Amino acid sequence: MLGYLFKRLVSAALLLVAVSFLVFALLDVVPGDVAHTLVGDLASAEQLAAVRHELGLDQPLLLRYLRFAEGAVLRGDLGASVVSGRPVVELLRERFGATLQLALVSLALALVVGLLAGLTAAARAGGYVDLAVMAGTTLGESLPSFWVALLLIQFFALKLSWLPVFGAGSLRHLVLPALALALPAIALIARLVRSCLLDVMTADFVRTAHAKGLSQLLVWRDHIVRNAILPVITLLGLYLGHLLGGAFIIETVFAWPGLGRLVVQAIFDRDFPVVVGAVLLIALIYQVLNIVVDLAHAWLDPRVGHEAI
Amino acid sequence: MGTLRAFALLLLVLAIAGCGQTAQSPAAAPTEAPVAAPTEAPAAAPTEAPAAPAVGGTVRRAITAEPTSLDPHATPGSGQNVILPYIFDTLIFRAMDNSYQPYLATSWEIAPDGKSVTFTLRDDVTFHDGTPLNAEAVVFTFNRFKEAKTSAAEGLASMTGVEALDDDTVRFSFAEPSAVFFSTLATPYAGIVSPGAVEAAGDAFGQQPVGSGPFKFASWQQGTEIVLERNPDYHWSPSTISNPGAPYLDQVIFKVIPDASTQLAALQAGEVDLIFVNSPSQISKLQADPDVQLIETQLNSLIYLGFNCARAPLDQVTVRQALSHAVNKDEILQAALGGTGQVAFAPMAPTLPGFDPSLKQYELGYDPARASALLAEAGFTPGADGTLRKDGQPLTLTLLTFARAPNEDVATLLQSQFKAIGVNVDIQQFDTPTAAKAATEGQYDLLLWRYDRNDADVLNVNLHSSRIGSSNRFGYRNPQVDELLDQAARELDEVARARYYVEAQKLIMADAPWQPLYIPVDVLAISSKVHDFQLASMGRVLLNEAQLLQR
Amino acid sequence: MALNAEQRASRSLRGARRLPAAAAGADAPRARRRAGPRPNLLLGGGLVGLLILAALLAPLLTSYAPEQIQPAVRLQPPSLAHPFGTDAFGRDLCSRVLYGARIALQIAILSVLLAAVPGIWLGLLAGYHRGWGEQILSRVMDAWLAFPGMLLAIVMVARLGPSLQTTVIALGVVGIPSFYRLARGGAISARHALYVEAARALGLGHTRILLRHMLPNLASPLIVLLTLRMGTMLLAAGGLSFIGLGAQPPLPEWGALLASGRDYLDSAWWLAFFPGLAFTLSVMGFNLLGDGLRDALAPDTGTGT
Repeated sequence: MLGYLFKRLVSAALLLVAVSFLVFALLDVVPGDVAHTLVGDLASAEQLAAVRHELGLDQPLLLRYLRFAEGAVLRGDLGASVVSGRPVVELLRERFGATLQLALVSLALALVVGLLAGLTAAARAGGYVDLAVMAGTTLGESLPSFWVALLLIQFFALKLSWLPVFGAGSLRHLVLPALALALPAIALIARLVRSCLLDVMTADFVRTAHAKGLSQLLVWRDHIVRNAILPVITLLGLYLGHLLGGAFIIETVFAWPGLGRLVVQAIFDRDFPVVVGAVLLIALIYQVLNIVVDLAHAWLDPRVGHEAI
Repeated sequence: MGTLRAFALLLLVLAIAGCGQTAQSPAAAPTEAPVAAPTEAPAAAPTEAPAAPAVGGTVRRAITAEPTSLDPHATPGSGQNVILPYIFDTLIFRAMDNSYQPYLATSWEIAPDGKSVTFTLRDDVTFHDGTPLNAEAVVFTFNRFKEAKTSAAEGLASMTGVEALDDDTVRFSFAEPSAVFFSTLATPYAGIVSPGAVEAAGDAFGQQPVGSGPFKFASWQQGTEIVLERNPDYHWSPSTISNPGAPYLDQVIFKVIPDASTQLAALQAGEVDLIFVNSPSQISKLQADPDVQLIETQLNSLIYLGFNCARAPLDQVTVRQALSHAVNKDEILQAALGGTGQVAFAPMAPTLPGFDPSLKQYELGYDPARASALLAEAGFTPGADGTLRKDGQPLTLTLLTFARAPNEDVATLLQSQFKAIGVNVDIQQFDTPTAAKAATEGQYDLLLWRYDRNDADVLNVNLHSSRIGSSNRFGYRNPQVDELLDQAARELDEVARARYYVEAQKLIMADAPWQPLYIPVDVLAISSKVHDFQLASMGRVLLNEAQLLQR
Repeated sequence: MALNAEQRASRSLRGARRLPAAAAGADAPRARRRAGPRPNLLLGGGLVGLLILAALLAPLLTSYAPEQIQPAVRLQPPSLAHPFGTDAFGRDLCSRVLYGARIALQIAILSVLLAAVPGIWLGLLAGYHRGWGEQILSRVMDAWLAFPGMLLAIVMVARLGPSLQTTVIALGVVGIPSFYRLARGGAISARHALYVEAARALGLGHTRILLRHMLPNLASPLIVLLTLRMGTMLLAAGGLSFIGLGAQPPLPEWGALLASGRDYLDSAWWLAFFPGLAFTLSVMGFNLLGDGLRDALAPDTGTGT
């Protein structure tokens, strides 16, 4: 087990190196740079060149990357935002909490609603209820997110005045953005749960258990749920990774102070240190989640665990 | 007899109420002719003059872009110039009619040779940290400002030094007279900073700014909001404000809301009190809302279509003139802007010195027939599909602009107007830094751009040949124009300066490096609970005497 | 070897089913499931078919050009002359939505192809040959996948300048790793299969084996992934349009129509409604079709995403 963990950690570390270099290289080829953002619209060519020189932007790519890597690994210093001068680590820390909050609540919401939907559909498989539930959830994942956000605001915040329009700070502020974010996940989870449940419910070992006289509930708990949970956990892990990185549309519409908005703004500002730092953070979390999911798998399903480890 | 006395009393009361009104009007009154008069805010109807002001409350204002720093000497950004005026004061104050009023400086004297200006400061001003605002602080501020070398500091280009003659007198010295100096002094970036606070905070000053303004910095939650609190010691309001003391409001909060639709929804839900709207659909939606007042603010800005004079075929003046004649500005104003704003004909905004209505006669107005004739003269003939061709090559131009409303709509209209005379246009919208870079490097044929410079030297910045490669993105070069612009830059007498600019504009309009399109108007949407706010030059909203009332 | 979590999940379920099936050969319960998925296939297929029809027949279904600006009839509600109403420039919305179907189809098909062709080719090679080349490639693909897709697309569009072509390229590039993974997984499973050994024994070249033998075995999950991805691409393109990095005017791309229709919900509901309906139905069509295909073609894989 430990050996496996170690291998995974090394693998993850290498991945982070790859990602950080990829980001660096990618940003390098993007036209426009932060000098324009810093000095403004009417700068002269000399001013721009001076700023670039000061920021070390005129040095070769590899050198800049190595300097960054050295700082990151040895001192945990991800550099400073070129636009505001504040340390990247500080900026990430401020925004990460908000994003994490939104992601977790959204995930929980998706899980609950998705499970219910999947259960309902599986229980009445083949009928109209099944069709309605599946069509409904598919609709949820087919709507563009900014659209959903807008409709939610118009309806729940303006027409009904139940919830605030924007911002963060209380439980009520979380509802609409989490809901908007959760919709695509609900469909995925519902479909998965339904599928798993159907497979497992009709499997023979369940019938055997029934035949042995085990109560319905026990059968449910010990066999069906346990086996159905595995793929759901996997999906959750993947989706959490997505949420952490890509929720910027929801964050923009709801003025949620999250990581997504920070990164997109940094891309527009050509604030490379912030982009690199944020992408690294997201990749790191993604890796951690993957490892956790793998371990959960190994723990819950000894059969699989032995194979992989 | 009783009736007469009653009548006289009535007249007297009306007269007093009328006096209460005049304090409000300079803020809302229109200036020189062509500017659309701002719709008079119902709230400017006076609270009865002698009544006690309602003290307390918070005004929440939405901003689209969060500033990266509140240091006036940091890079200028759109979030900044909105917030800085509340925290920092400037030596002079620019009124709605663009005239300069005393503020921190009670008077000033320009030397006869124009190479130095001496200011006398108020002696009773303190910073938010308690230290006195004196000549030393002013000297410190301007040295720091000039060192910062931001584009805002360009107005200080010919400044050679600033010194404190005594505790309340400061003298600025110049290599040559600088006409742009005064307008620079009135910008929020010339706000006076507390030297003590700067030294203590170092690089973090931008996150904890200390000035002398009516509101002081309280807190900043990154990504969410910036909170300012009343400065209770404030008693040096500019003369246009009738409340000489501290503001009545407790707090002003700037909420970061990047999406325009969400800002609108927030205003309607009562979660913010003040937003700026600039799309016709939003404006009409708010017009119907009884809880919201709409006020047009006046800007010294211009939206124009620039031509790349260094690239064929736009290097030929005939082609530029032809394209200028193909533009239907009225259609743009109606369709893209819903009629808000006004059509422009001269490169200078109407509110800046140097604007002259008589320049209208030089306008290359909407005349598609003439446009086609000129293009034919230049050697373009229509092909089978109507597209103009020369030497077998179809005439296709790239239009570059930055992605902000309503540029996309304006660009679409221009595209269709040019198509009507057989010219194909490809639109390229980028985010502002990329667009700015591409524009500076001349990677475009047509440039849909905007200036917001608050001084007539905007023509120097954009069209002087010495700026080719930096702020002159058009490759425009005319030595006669250069000469006129240089003289205008050194001329301190407003009238003489204006004359130079008028002459320069005649030449520019004939050369047609630009087709001026329209003067934008920022529409302020404010909750009717907020009373007695004032508008100042450059779109500023002053809240010194604002009060929150229940409608 | 590092199976990814998804593969392990589906493996675990397959395992659960095979043992009892071998023992008791139960197959009656399956019929109960078949009844469910078919509506997916029908509905999804129908919607996608509608999209294709709209795209092909656009010039026949409307007489207005989608960019024709007619300021006199701006913001008209739906009527006989303009079945979907007109927009702020007086352009006929029905025409714009129909021509927008062409753009939607272009985006969906081209970006998915751009992702699938290199992804599958590299994946097959990697899974078949293994070795250190595969190790490096897989790590690169993992890094690629770890990079949040939308951000990558934004950076690329920022580089290349926003346009329809750039959108397709950016989305395509972002999508490569998923196809790589699928193909690699399939190649790994199949490389020891009997038919492959036989082919090798016969002296057939590697390329031939990959193309003629392995690829067809991947067909089912591949088709499912392709279809599902089309929906994803459309949504992603909509997101890019929202921040102004999508197709440029006057192209009537649905995402752009939706974004600009946002402000008119009260005053001109049709501007938001019809493009939204078209967009949602199309994405739904791809999603339903993909699901239906998955259930119909490969009932044994059960769970994969």
